[in-house]
This record gives sequence, structure tokens and C-alpha cells, in this order.
Amino acid sequence: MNNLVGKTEEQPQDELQLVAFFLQGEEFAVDIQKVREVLKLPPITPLPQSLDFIEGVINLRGEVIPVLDLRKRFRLKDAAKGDKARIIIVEIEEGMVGLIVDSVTEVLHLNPSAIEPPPRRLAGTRPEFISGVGKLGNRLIIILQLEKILSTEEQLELEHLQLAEAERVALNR
Amino acid sequence: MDTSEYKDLFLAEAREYLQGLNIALLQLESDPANREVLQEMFRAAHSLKGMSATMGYQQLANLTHQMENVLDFLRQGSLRAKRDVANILFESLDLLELLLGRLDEPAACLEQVDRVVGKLRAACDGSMEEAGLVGSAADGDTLLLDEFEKEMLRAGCAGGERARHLEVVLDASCLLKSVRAYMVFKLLEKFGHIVKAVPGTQELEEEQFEDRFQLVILTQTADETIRAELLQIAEVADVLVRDVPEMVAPSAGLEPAKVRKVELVSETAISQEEVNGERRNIRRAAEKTIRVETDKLDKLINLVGELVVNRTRVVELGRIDVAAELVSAVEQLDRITTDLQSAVMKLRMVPIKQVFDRFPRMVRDLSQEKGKKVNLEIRGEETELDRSIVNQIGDPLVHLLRNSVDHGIEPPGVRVQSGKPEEGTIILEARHEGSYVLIRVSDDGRGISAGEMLKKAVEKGLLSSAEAQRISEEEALRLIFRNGFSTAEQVTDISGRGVGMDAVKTVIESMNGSVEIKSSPGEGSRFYVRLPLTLAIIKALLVEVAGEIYAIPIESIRENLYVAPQDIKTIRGEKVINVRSEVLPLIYLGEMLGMKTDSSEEILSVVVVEAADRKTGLVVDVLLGQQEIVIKSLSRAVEGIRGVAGATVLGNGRVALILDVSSLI
Amino acid sequence: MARQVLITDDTAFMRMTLKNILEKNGYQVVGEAEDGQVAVDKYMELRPDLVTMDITMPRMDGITAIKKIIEADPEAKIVVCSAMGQKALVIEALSAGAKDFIVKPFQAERIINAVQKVIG
Repeated sequence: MNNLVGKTEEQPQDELQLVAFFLQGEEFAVDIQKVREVLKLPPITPLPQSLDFIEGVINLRGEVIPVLDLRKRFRLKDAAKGDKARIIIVEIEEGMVGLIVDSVTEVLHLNPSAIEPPPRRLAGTRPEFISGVGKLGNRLIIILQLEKILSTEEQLELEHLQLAEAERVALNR
Repeated sequence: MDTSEYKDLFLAEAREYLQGLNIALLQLESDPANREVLQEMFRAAHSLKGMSATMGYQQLANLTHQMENVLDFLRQGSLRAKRDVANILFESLDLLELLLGRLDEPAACLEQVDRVVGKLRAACDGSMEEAGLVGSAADGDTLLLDEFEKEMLRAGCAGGERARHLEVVLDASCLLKSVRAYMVFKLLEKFGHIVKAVPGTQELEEEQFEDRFQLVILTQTADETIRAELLQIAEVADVLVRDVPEMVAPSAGLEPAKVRKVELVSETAISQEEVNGERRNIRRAAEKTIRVETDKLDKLINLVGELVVNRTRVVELGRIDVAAELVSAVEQLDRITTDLQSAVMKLRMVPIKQVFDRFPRMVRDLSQEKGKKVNLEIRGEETELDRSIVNQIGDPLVHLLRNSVDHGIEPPGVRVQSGKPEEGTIILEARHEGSYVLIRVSDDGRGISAGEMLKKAVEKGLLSSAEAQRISEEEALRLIFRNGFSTAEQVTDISGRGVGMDAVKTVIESMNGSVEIKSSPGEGSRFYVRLPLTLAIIKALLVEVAGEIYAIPIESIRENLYVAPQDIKTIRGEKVINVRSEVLPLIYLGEMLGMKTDSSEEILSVVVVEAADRKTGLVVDVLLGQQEIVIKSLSRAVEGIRGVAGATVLGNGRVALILDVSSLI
Repeated sequence: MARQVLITDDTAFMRMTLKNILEKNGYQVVGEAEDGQVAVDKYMELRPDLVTMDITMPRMDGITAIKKIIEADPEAKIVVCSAMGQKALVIEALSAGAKDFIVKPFQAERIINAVQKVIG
């Protein structure tokens, strides 16, 4: 007997809520559970000698928070940041991080059955960054996972190698 | 159960227990019969065992279990705390520390654990032969009654009441155990009164007990009634009611261990109180929390209240536009804000005792190893400073103390010959001095001679003999902090790391502190470490480079200069300037930071900074002026950037980076 | 006859959970209250054998409600339902006259155990 109680009852458990946004004409989304808030671009202080996709740091009510340019992170074309550009503040393991996107569109409700596993490579982004592709009508929405968003290319390559090695060892057993 | 999220807390707590065990063991060495200390150690080992097992750390659980057994024998008196036993325990504590550092490699120290566990077992076996005992189930806390409590029991019994010893066992899954204990207390008050609780009420309230606690009560009610009533409370699993053994029995040390034992030891009420206050601290608040005196918090809250009232006033006045009154209100606002700031900063202060506590053990081990006799005197351990500093000051102090034991204090024979007491004395003292904390490490050893320092420096090529002639005695002593001066010869092999006194200086300077040395040959040396009270607020010079504002900590700035282009020389491809016959390399901060600069200024603004005894001129676009800044740490996501120590938020809400001069030059 | 219980909690979900657990174990839930004031009113009306009482609720909190109920009926049997970390409030509720407490998240066994000990 283990009737654990404490979750709110309004949301049907399995429906996903996502914050959707655009990057170079493609639609992306992140789990709303990770999102703290969405901001217009504040002044950004550049961080010298940091990873190229780190745009700098901002002041969010007295806290200093690093900001990533998702276009740079995904090796998309660099573009001037327009009026619609926003920073999505997300909470990841390393703490709060801002993600610069072209525009934020809406909050989506998506049934898990409408989500397919990620293809191997998509829009130049590494498979590590994608948890799946959602279908909503005729829209295709790339759903991001943020765990590896700060890893360098080298770290990701290394993990690939280690994974391959582990598989090899497992096969040889 | 997934325990990873508790790991930090486990580690912090385990380290505190370890620290407490180390201190207690030292105490025990000088006072082997001290039962209070043994009791405390037993409890600490017992808790460690429980914690480790819960977390699934088998090695730790195994080791602490054996330690617990040895300590149990010791406190029963069936094993004597002789030097060899103490040494095994010290060894166990060292291994414990090692294991705590390698929690993620469970198999790493298997052999060592086996070896030490073997030694602990052997110690127990020895004692069992000695006492003629076969295995004893060591569990639960022993009950110690002090004179006052015994007197109460005697008086109660004389008045027709009966002294009962209750053991209350709660459900293993019980939540809010302290409230259950409260309910037990409340209920028992109906039947009589409670003379003693083990663990004490404080621990019960803080839930520092496992599934059971013991009580001694005076009552006229029948055991069965008490038991039945207590069992009516939810989650009370069992209640055992027993006699309190003969109260005037002599120390129970000789009584063979039974499954449950109730021990009575004579102690006066007062001394026990004193002792408890000190020792109960074996378990201090976990690393990530600070216990705060309510006085300090009250002050903070009052100040915030005042601030809010005054801010409202300023806003109102702004509407009416009465200049003179506005000025006075703003002034007051400013004053209160300053007070508020310092009050808030006090919340971050912790006593330096946390660091000092580990030194007696270290000095003991080191002097034993070196065949020296050293008495470490600690003063001012209650001195408070910012916890971030307390966390960092340990290593430099370890090094200074090692230096004193190694090179300061002479071997006993030498000391006697030179008319000194056989035992050397090292004094470690902390005290406040203005907005600084001064830590002094002094010894009555052989001291350092300026002449010899100079000779060595010339030998090592750090100084030319001409330079050596000109140098003052003070400067000569300071050579000890020069990079390359203290070599293997100077560094004790115990440290195992090739760090010298120069590293001490670097660490202290990185905290915006300073270190000085004074010495008289034959009489001893004194090291003075000055540290700011807090790292959270510093004075900084704001400069502009490539349109961005950076902050340079004032402590590392020597002067500001304006330099004309023709005064810049090039030596071996590097740009330098000449300041009062000193040649300083120039660094263009913009280039250094990889920023685009198009400074076409006629006259260059140069900030002369110094770190690790090297001076450098930093070329900036504009000098903006001094300001107090609050240091904010950079997020873990971007920490460790070379040249950047942190960030601060400026008055206009923008973030400015704080430069780390030592990694920049 | 089945023992009668009045459930007090501001969330419908909690009330439902408690109700299910109690009814499965042979108790009769005669009323539900969504805040302290309703609990006091319903107690007067229904005179149940037992009241379960949440602590933090809108309008009137659980502790005030306990005091009012005990004032009207010193024999009233009230079990507090609290969240972890409400130690001080639980103690306050107990000294106001509550007989026992259960800690959320609820486990059926614990609830029944506590209820049985209070009203059998």
C-alpha cells in the first residue's frame, strides 16, 4: 500500500507542456518544467575567452547568469538579433542559463504519442541536444534536451568514443 | 534508494564527526579514563556507521562498525586506552578521511580497510581475552546519571515514587520523530515527571536519534499502564519498562557487558554541564548551513524595517521637491543602508575554530614523527570571519604550522643545550584588527637569520651579491616567500606536495590578504597573516576597455599612471615602461581579453598591478574611479575563465567582470 | 455501527484520497470541510467520532479550528494532517488538544494506524 499524494490533480499526467520558439525559421521547443522565465534581451556583458557560443552574462535581479546564443550553439547562421529576440531562462544542472532565440511563439500542449524519437542529425544540431520531434498538425517541432547544452564539442566527441568503446567491449564478452 | 542527492550532506556531516573524533581522541590520549569523551566518540562512530550503511558505503560502514566495537569496549572499561589502541584509532580516522575522499571508488581502499579492520578486531579480541568476555551486542546509548539526577531519584523514591527506566522504540518509518517524542513527554507528564532523557531533549528535538530513546522517570503508576498508554500513540512500536539499577553502585566499568546496560558514573552536575556544552558539538551544523544568533537576525530585520520606512519617505519627498529635506533623507537612507549591509555581512561570519580544530592532531602527528616535543597553544579561536575565507585559510595555515614544527622548533636535546625548555611552544592566535583579522603563528624555535637567507638567495641565483648588499633585514626575511626559494629542503615530506612558502603567500594574496614574517635568531619566528573580514565586498577600481567596464580589486593595484607613447620602450619584443627606475611589462588589457579596441588615445591610462611579487602595467581605455562592489560568483556553467575572478552588478544594473590579476599577468 | 469521520482539507484531491483510504478500512466519512470554519460548523452539526484536520487552510487555519472544536467539546478526537517541516505547527496543534498527527504524503497504513489508536 503506497498511496503517495502530493501531485496536483489538474494536469493529465502524460500531456507535455512545451515553450516553443523559432531559430532560423525552424520551430523548436523546451519542456516548460525547465523554463524559469522569458525576457527581452537585456544588456549583455561579454565574457572574454569563454566558449564561442557563450554570449556573455546578464543581471537577473541581482544574480549573474550566463547566456548562450542557440544559433551559435547549433552552428546555424549568425544573424542580427531583432526586436522579437528573447532570452529563455532555463534551469539546468549547472544552474540557471539564458538561451537566446529568434522569437518565442507559444506554450504548446503535446501528447507523447505525437513525439517521435530524434533522427540522427537535424538542422546541424547534434543528436545529443534533441529528445524528439513533435508533430502538431502539419508543424514539426524539434524538442530540445538541455543536459548537454554546455558541453564542448570535444567532450561530446569523447563521450561518443567512450560509448563506442563500451559497446565494443560488451560485444566481445 | 537513490541517495546521490544526500551525498553532499552526508559528506559534510561525516567530516564533522571525523573532526570531532580526532579532537576527542587527542583528549583521550591525555586523559585515558575520561568516560564522557569515550561516550561521545562511541556515539559519533555509531552515527557514522548508521549514516554510511544508509548510503550504501560498505567500506565505511564496516570500518566504523569495528571502531564502534573498540570504543564500546573502551567505555565499558574492558579495554584500556593505551597508546597502541590510540594509534590504531588514529589510523582508522585517517583511513576514514581517505574513504570519504573517494566515495565514488568503492573498491579503491579495500586492502587498507581490511588491514585496519583486522587491527581493530585484534584489539577487541585482546580485550575479550583480558576480560573473559565473549561477543557483546553493542547497541544503544548507555545511561549516565549525574549526582543531581541521582539526588532527584533518591528524593522521589523517599517520597513513595518509583524510578523507572523506559526505552521507547518508534516505527522505523516514523516521520517527525521529534513530535512523537514530544507526545511521549506530554503523556508521561500525566503520570509523574521525567528526570533524564537519553539522548537529551535538545537532540530529541533536533531529531538526532535513530529509532529509540531512553527516559528515566519518577512515577507511582504501574508499569503496564504506562506502557499501554504510550503504545496508544501512533508509530510508537514498543516500550520497555525496567528498573533503574542501584543508584549508588560504583562505576560500572567492571560489570560484564550485558545485552542492555545501564551505567552509572559519578559526576557533579556542574562539571557535566560544562563538559557537555563543549563536547556535544561533535556534530555541528552541516556545511551548507550557518547557525545564526537570533540577536543578529533581529538586528537585520529592524534595519530593513527602517530602510523601508525611509525609502518611502524619500519617494514622497521626491514628489514635493523640497531639496534640503530630500538631501537629509537621502543621507539617512544611505547611513541605514550601510548599517544594513554590515549586519547582513555578519550573517556570513563563522568562528575560525572550525579551521583551528584540526591543528592539534596535525601538530601531534608531525612532532611525533620528527622526534620533537611541541605544545600548540591556540588563542582567539572564537574570532569570526567570512565563511568563504575560513574555508580557504586552512591550507596556508597548515603550511605555516608545518614550517614551525619542521624548521622552527629544535629537537629536545638541542633545546636543552641552548637553555630552553625541552618542549617547544607554537602559538596560533587570531584576533580582529580594524576591518582585518590578524592570525599569528609564532614559535620559540631557532628563528631565521637574515644573513643566512641572503646567502641562500645568492646561492640559488635569486639575488646578485650586489643586490644582497643593499637589501634590508626585513626584505631579506621576506625572501622566504619568493618563488624558488623554499625547495625540497624547506618543504616537509609530509605535505607530499612540492608547495613552498611562496604558495602560502599566493593563496593569502588571492584572498586580498597579506603575510609578513619577523624573526630573531635563537628566539623564534612569527608569521603575521592579515585577512579581510569578508570577501563578499571589496574596493575596486573600475576601468573601461573596449566599451566594457571591468573592476580591478584595489588590493592588487599599486598606482595609476598616464604614459605618453614615446615613454613606451620595447625590450625583446615586449613593450615596457620605466617607472622610477623600475622596468614594468605592459599588457594591453583589451588585447589580453580578446576584445576589439581602437583606442587612439594620445596618452595611455595604465594601472600598475602587483601579484606574486610581479608588477605589471595594464593599459586601459578609461579610468573610471574607485567603488565598493559586491562580488557575485559566476555561474558554474562558465566558471574558471582565466583572468576573471567573478562579476558584480553596477549601479545601472549592468554586469561588470572582476579581473583576477594574478592569473592575468 | 461504523465509526464516523469528518475530513478537513482545502484540496479536494486530499479529501478524496483520505476518504478512499478510510472507507476501504470500514470507516464512514460523514462530512468533508474545505477550511477550518466549515470544519467547526460541520462538527457541531454532525458530532463525528473523529476529525482529520489539515493545518494550513484559507479563511480559518486548522489550529484555530482545533481550539474552537475542543472549546465546544473537550472530548473531541482530532488527528492533524501535516506536511513535513511543520514541526512547530504540529506541536501547537497537539497542545491545542489534537490527539495525534499524520504526515503527508499519506500512506494508508499510517493513517489507519493513527486513526485506530485514537478511536479504535
